[in-house]
Amino acid sequence: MRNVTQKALTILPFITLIGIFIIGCELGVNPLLFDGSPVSVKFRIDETGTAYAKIDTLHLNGIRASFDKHIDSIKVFNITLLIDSTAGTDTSTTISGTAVIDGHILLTLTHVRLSTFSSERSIFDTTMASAGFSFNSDGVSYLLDLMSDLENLPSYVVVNISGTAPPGPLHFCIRLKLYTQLYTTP
Amino acid sequence: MKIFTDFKYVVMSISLLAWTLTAPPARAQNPFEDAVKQISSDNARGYLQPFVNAVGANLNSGLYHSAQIGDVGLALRFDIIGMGTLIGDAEKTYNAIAPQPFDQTPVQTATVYGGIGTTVHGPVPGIDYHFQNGEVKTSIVLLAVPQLTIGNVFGTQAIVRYIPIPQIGDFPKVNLFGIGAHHNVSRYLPASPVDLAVGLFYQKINIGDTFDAKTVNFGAEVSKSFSVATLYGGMQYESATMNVTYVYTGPGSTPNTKFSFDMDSENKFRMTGGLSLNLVILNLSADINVGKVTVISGALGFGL
Repeated sequence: MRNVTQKALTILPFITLIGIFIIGCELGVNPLLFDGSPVSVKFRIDETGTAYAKIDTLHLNGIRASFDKHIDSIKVFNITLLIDSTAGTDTSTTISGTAVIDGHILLTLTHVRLSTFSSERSIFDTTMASAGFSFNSDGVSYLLDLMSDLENLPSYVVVNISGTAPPGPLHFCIRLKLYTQLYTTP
Repeated sequence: MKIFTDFKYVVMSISLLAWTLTAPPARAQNPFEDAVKQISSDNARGYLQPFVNAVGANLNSGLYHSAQIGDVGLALRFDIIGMGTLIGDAEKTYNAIAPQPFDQTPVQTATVYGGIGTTVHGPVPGIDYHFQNGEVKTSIVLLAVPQLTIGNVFGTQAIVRYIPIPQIGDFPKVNLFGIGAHHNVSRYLPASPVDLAVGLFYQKINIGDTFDAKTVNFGAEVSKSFSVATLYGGMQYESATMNVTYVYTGPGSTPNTKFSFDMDSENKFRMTGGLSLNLVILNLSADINVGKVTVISGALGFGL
């Protein structure tokens, strides 16, 4: 008993200090924000003519893949477009057409030079309007609505691209990428 | 053997104390380091600057409690030093820039000690960017360390700080080592009505795999004893540099990029004033330090 008392007396001052110091400090009080894994869809175009049309799926379940925290909500903050791997395509090629998600038009291209998207650019970049590019609020709103209902979020959406790109032949890749933020519970 | 056994419990207690106070996120998923890893390098500086200031200011505190140092003879003192940097409104916000395609004008948002991060609205309703939220709600950032003072050799005392804590579960490993000395100057000025000393101190601390900090300070100390009470004070120049290394998992074209950068504490100079009570072998001290940030410090010590 005496030994226990001695140990308690030895530890007491330090335990007291701990008690004093941790008062008034709260950790992890606000929701942590994480960036979801970017998900993308890639279309490889190889056509002898000038017309193109492709269909593929954009896997939304990849956004929270390998994420081990409880997600409160997901919000989209950027969608980008990249056109690369253009070897074999005339450098004067311009592209026209649309990208459609589950029947909702996401973006429209009207005689846009391929080089405009040789590096990844946001479809919300307002400086591209004069270059013949515009996003469509119908497709954007559709994606936002999907994300707002996490419980019914589909594992994928269907993406169609189609249009023309004279003079041909056509050899390039079109990539659409979706960026999101994940809101966790505190 | 008994002394050794008691010492073991003291060390265990100190380790627990230091672990509790220095581990930034006392939660299973370590929200502090998680938050940092989501922020790009430029914004991480602003988000973390108050944390760097606080860690540096805390480490550079509580090193002396008197300028009175004997010429020769054994002096041994063991202290638990508690320090706290006050967190005001200025430490809770910084200016940050959202990623493209959002407006590149800086906006004020939360630091690690702030509230909810600012939301920047994009060109389409619903397309927004939300800056990271603050993750620590406190009005004071606390730290406690054990400190051993030993002397006296020609009016000089050595001061040592040491904490080795391995990683335990989700708590990061914490290693602190500090060494320094202070030297009696009034021994060269016999007519001085007060005790005078100068000090120099170096410390290194590692917290988890993300934060490494080094601090250096030197300054002048003055004290005057009245019975069991000693009034003390001083001026100090100091620096603290924290290296932040992490794998970036946030937005941008090159995710998983490893960032490593140094941040300097903004606290460079301080004035200290305090009171110490010497009750036989028990020593109690408290002081306030005013500089870029304000630090309060207290010590519970044993020794002669």
